[in-house]
Amino acid sequence: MENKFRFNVKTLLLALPMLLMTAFALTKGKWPQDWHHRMAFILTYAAFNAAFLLTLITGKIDRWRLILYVAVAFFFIISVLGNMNEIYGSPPLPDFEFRLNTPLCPVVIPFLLIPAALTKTVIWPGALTDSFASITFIFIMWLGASISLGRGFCSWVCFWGGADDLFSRLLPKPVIKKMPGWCKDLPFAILLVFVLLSTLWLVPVYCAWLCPVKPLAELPAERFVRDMSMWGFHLALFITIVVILPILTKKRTHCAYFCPLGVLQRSAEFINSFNLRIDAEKCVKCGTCINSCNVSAVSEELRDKGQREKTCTKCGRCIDRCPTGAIHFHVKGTGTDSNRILSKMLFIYSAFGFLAMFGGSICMDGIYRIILFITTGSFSQ
Amino acid sequence: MTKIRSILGYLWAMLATPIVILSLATSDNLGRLLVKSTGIKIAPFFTGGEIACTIDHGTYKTHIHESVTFGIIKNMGESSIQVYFEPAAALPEIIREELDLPDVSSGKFFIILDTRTGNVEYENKPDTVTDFKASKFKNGWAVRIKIEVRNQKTEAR
Repeated sequence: MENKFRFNVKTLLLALPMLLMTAFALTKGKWPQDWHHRMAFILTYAAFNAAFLLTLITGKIDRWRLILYVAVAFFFIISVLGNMNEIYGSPPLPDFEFRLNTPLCPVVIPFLLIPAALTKTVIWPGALTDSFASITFIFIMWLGASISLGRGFCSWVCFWGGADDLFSRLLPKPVIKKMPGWCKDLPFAILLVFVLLSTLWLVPVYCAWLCPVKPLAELPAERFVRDMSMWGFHLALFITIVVILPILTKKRTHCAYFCPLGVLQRSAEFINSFNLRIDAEKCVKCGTCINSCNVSAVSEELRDKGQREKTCTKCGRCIDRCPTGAIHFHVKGTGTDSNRILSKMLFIYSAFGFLAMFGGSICMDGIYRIILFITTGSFSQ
Repeated sequence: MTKIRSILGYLWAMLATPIVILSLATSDNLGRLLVKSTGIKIAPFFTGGEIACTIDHGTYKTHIHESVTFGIIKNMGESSIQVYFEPAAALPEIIREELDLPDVSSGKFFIILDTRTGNVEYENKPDTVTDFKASKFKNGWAVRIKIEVRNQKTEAR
């Protein structure tokens, strides 16, 4: 029972840094002025800190992470549509090339880097600074998350991942038991092709033509027939890749087999300090970790070596499920006899910190807009 | 050696949480510093590019932007010129604006924007002009004129 704490002074002391971090991040040092914001802050603050406390008390990571992660995905849609409404006057956006101040999506980051280096321009219709989800804010946030969490970004920070994470858990058993082998190479191919196209055309081609999560944050401009048909195509991709396939395969098909940012996050694993280890002495080879992993990061060969693939998003599901407690967070460079609780706490603080501070801000804005809608009939001020 | 690796490992892991806090708390200031030091800008494809000239109509102004070429390889196919009218409150219902494009040989080229509907029409459209688009902004209207690139710089005056 080494992963659990009892509800006592020690647990409260361990929760204290999170209470302070979230208070600072959600209020930006100022107590909210109007009651809509106050209510949104109280609900968000209570929910995220309760989940952190429960993580400490129960020793379960993924159970509480998932609830918050799905909530972030849900409130993100409301938040971004509300913000779009404030920027453009209506949620349907203007034609792509007429957009300004569009929030930056982290998935598009790989396609901006080479054009930025070559032309000193950002091929995204956003604001560089001082705006909701400005380009530099998202870029620095992504950089910080990549250094501290590596591919953990995909289960703790990315606001798109909640949808297919949720859908991948709906059925008790998968209908499609195995994904074809080439699927693992698909994100590499998508990254390569679309980086090349984006560099040639100086337009984020992936975002314009292939992104399956686009319909979640964007309604088509009705007067453009082309936009309507493109939106329909993106919607079909969303239903297939983010809804149907995760349900049938019990895998996060978008995050594991499609998303080009996931490839970049894999390389961030080289600088990140955390990974997962499987204790060969404790492992009874029951296969629970292989079956429960929804990004296919554990195979029989790797399990027997005590490792997992770099696709691991550190969601903690296999740790929660392992009947013998053989899987644990591990700090790179430390030996097999390293302090498991210390490794776990160091990871949990950074991962949960990111989820609570970044995802919490998204949830707070979403809750605020729902309260605003209930009381005034509008999602925007 | 193992002990040193272990200590370095824990030190790097302990820095993870401060990195999280710093990346979120200082992103605004760091972002401004990044923009200032690199001189990076938003691509002209989205902003419309630099303003080449401004015509003052008294109650409203017309800003004609420099032509923006698509793609990293110049003259890849198309370029566009943005014409921006502001302020929105002072714009007439119908705007008729003359544009002077260097490779136009068929007389004066006019664009006509209906600010009630966003509909764009034209007079004496040159062969090189392939498309029009208009969009309403908070403080005005923008019209993008797509021009086929024919090995010479196309610029509005």
